[in-house]
Amino acid sequence: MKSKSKIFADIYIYTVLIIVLIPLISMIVFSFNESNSLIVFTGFTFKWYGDIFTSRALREPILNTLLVAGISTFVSVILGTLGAMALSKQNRIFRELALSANNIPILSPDILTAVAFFVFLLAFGIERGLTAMILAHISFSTPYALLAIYPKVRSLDPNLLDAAYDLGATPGKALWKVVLPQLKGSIIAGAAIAFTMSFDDYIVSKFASGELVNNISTYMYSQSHGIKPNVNALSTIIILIIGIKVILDYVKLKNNKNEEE
Amino acid sequence: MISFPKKQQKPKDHKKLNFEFYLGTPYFLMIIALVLIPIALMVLYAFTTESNNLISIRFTFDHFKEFFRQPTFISSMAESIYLSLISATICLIICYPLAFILSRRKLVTQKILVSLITSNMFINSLLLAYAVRSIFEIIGNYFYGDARHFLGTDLAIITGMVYLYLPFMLLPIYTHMAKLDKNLFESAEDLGANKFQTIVRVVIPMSISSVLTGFMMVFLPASTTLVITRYLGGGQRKMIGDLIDLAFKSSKFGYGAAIALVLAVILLIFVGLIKKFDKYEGVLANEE
Repeated sequence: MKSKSKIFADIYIYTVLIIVLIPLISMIVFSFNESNSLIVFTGFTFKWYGDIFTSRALREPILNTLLVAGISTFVSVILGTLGAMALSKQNRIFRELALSANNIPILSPDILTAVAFFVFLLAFGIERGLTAMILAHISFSTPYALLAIYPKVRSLDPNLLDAAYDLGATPGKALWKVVLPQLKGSIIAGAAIAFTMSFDDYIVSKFASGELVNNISTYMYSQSHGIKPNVNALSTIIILIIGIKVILDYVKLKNNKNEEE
Repeated sequence: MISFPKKQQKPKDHKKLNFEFYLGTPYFLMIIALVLIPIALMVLYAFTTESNNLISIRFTFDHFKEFFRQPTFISSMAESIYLSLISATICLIICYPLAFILSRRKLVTQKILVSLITSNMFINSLLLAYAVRSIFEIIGNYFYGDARHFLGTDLAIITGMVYLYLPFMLLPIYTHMAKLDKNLFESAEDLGANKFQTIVRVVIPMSISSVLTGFMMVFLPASTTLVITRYLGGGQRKMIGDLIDLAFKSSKFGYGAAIALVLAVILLIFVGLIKKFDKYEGVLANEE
């Protein structure tokens, strides 16, 4: 028998859940819509999914998004890992200062980051475009990567490193064979956050690209007649991939729990 | 004089320290070049006249004067802050009980529900805003015969903000609640507190800092959004982000930088106020 308060709690959770998921569901439903409209459902079709791969207009933004997110994630994870290791060994004052500088891009609203970066490009005469966009994405993804990796670095057992040195490892070897394997989980988490940030960003991309090149976000924004269902289809695929990942995690979690019991 | 045998490790430690410091060089250089210098330049641009090189600059307050002379700009700044404060409050009202309930469920149930409720985070924010807009259009079309009925209203904008930034409120509060020691609830009960008293005296004081974090995480992006006004503003509502965007579109870079700077200062004041509130509550929580 469930208690009365538990039933109310259940109702509350599932009401919020359903309301939160309405736009997501509508997005998925209209990715199968026959016509261009996102308001009236006229018929069922898969054509928008094919359109992702054939549409010329969509190809450039998709490739740019993958390129920018890929490179900026890769670079920011490397920078973040190195930075986290360097920071954990510094004295407190330097560490606090560096961490506050690190928090600037995280706390400051996108538009401020975008304006500052735009002025930076202007002052140094750097041309806006894909390279500028990658640089901008590195600048705001790295702090997230660092924050994901830093706590793990601090909790590492220093004795292991000492042991590696005592056994004759060079600093480079100790890093590669001892430190990095322990950081693997948090590095992956950092990469996931960096990729999501880069993928989701609109404002910084817009200012850095000078609207000369498009990623998905700036492409969507530039569609003045509204977003076409092919973008819905693309997002549905992404949601599907993330959903599968979440379900796998869930299964793994459940298995682990069963083993413990 | 008695001398202890000195440990031989010192020089080695020193070498290691240096090695790790050098490892961080690319990171530090990146932060200086791509984060700190741009901000310094933004301040510089806000206070100087337009020029194409750094040598022939002249200091001026004109950009700020121009900004404060325009009543529409002041009103859109106030409106941005007003709308995002309301949205953050609504997010808080929804998320606080939700986080509490979720944190007391089985671990697996918690994980799956939290990832479902925050799943909107993984959709591109433009597309999510557009999806919210299409929901409003469907309702407007069905009940009022006008798809654009709701666009541009406070209701549409606030709903959009709540949808976009709800996960940023839920996650910090939930993470904090999940870490709370369950024994605390039992001891409160043993000491004679009823459920309501436990929540007011134990749960709320202990979670106040995560609430403030969540509040800032919603308020800051919501007040500076470009996306929401674009899709839910119906083309009539201009918020402060749009003004900055407009200034840069018409190549008034110094002016745009000045608005951005004013915005940064106002937001910093808000963040400072929120932090101050946190300290006060922290003291109270310790005393009780």
